Amino acid sequence: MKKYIFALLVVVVMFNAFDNLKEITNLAIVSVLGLDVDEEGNYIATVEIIAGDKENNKKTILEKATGNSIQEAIRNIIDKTPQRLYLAHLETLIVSEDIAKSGIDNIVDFFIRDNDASNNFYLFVSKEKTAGKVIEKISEQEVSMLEMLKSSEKYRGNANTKTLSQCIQQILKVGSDICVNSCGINEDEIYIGEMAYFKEWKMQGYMSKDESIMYNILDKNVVSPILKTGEKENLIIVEIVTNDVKFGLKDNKVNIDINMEVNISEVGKAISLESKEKVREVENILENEVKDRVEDFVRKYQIERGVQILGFENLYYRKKKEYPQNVEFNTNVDISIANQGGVVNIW
Amino acid sequence: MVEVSFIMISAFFSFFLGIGSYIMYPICRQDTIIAMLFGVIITYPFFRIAKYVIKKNKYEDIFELNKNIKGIGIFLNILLFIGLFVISLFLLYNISDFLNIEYFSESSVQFTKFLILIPLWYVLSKDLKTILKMNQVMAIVCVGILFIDFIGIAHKIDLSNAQPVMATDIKDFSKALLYLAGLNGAGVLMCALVGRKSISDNGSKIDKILNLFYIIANIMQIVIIASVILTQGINYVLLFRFPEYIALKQFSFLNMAERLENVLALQFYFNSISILSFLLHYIVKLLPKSNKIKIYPIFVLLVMYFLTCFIFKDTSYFTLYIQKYIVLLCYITIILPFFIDYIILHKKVNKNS
Repeated sequence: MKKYIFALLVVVVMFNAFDNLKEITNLAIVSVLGLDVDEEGNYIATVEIIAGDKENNKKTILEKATGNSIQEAIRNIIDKTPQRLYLAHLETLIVSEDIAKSGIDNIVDFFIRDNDASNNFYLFVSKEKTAGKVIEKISEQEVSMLEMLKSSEKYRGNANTKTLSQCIQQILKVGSDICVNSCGINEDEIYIGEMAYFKEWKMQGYMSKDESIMYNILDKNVVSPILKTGEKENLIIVEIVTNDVKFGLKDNKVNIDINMEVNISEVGKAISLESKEKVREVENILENEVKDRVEDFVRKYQIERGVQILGFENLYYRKKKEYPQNVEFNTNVDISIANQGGVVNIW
Repeated sequence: MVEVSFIMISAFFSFFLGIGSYIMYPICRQDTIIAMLFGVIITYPFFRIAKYVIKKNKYEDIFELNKNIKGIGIFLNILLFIGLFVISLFLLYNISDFLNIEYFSESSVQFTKFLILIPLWYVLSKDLKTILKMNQVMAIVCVGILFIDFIGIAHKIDLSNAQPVMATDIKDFSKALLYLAGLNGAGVLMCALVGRKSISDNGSKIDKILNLFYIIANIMQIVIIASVILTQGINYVLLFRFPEYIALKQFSFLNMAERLENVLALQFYFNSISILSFLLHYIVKLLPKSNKIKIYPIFVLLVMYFLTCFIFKDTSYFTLYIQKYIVLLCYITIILPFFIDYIILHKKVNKNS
């Protein structure tokens, strides 16, 4: 027994953490990474490192380096900081529009191969000229992109919190494309922009704000965004409480079934909610509005631009059917008002 | 009898993760889940053989039974010895590779292997009863962890990841089923290494206990494969050497417990250590008796260490050998000897009656 204990002790002492020993003081923990390309095609990596800069009273340090490849650019940062860059706690990856348009496949490859990175971070496309510019602002204002993203998803519905690994899972499905969040600087403030849509690995463009919300509704990725219809006296503003979207194939046509529960937030003077019939009328108005928006969205992106962000092609593939050149679809929307609130109450 | 049945669970786990799954995913893709369901039926004949041999083998183990078979007995023991030894080599490298990729990515796999051999050295100083008890405890822990895993990643399950259903070519599907039957068959037959003399006799309950554990082991295997494919999609699964570990990264329990993959994945380690100690116990036992018997365990472990260094120069060699040889090895060196034993025992019983 003694010899086994002795052997175990020897192992514990000699092979303590093996080569993987990483003292936290020797690590430069990266929270935000930005990737740009210069005119010669070299990568420029900008990182925000979590480390108390006592001299300048700052929580983060910004570093930048250039290299022929992503790996080289990141490694070259070591010249400027004595610590090793640690990507396991990366929260945000921002890529420039140029990189996004030329394809993010090599970036995805890099993170899939890298053992340190967890892939549970969020990908953004920079609406500014470079991603580095955005990171400089993030560092200067000490904002958390993660918190901003969560708020945008929850209250505006124009963003979603899909991690890089979830995006990869989606894009790897046959006949399925992705949408990625964007960010930029407006009047010296960082903001979360509209969704950037991709075809295969390449970015095609940005959606509008309403389209971004519609995409997130159809992607079942909404928490409580606002829907607005009508103007002034006919204004109806509702908050989506629950949202269930189903895509199916019926008679070789795509069926989109949307079931929503909403809460009334605000109504114009001409809108009455005093009886169940009138509530049903409002529900009808909302259903028609959502149906129109969904149909416009599907027509624009799925049919005209052929972007598979809703995965119609994947739907046909899963049912072992050939994807038709002219896809037809039906939209069924069912909205129920859970609670109208307000002073006049019929419930 | 119960403690022997737990061997089935450990064998199913450790033969499949990183070995069986690595063969099955590229062939059957999303249909691997259906293949696993078929696997229950296809492996059943081997399970029947295992049950029969366990019931009729009155000796300490299968090797003693073979010794009492005139002529072919020694040949069967040699085959079994080669089979157990080579499978142990595969299992040792597989678990070292797993720890190396997911835990010690910057260390050499040789160091990791060395670390695994230390507890094995200790366990090999114990008798079969202790090893079986240890395996029982570890298997229970693993089943518990698996249950927690499933609860934690169930919210990520997307049934559309299983579609298109049965898109695999029937020829490839049948080939994959043969592979599966070979690996799971070998796993089931591991229980039959132990003779009735070495274990507590549950008499008429043997059938019920073994049937129950066969079902549990299969359900667990199906749950693992289904969770891996349904949460990630097959194209993502194929990117990784151990997608089961990657699936655990999605674990989240009530938004409180997250990033627990390193703890939860320890079940792979527990299972491999259990089954390795069981196999190595028989390998050491089969070596010729001499007064130097005490150094056998360390000798076997060192031979294994150097052989794995020599044969599996790196992971690419290992995965190549997995795809080419391991199933064939299971059929020739494990299933074939047991099948011959089954026929001999059957003839004997018929003759006596």
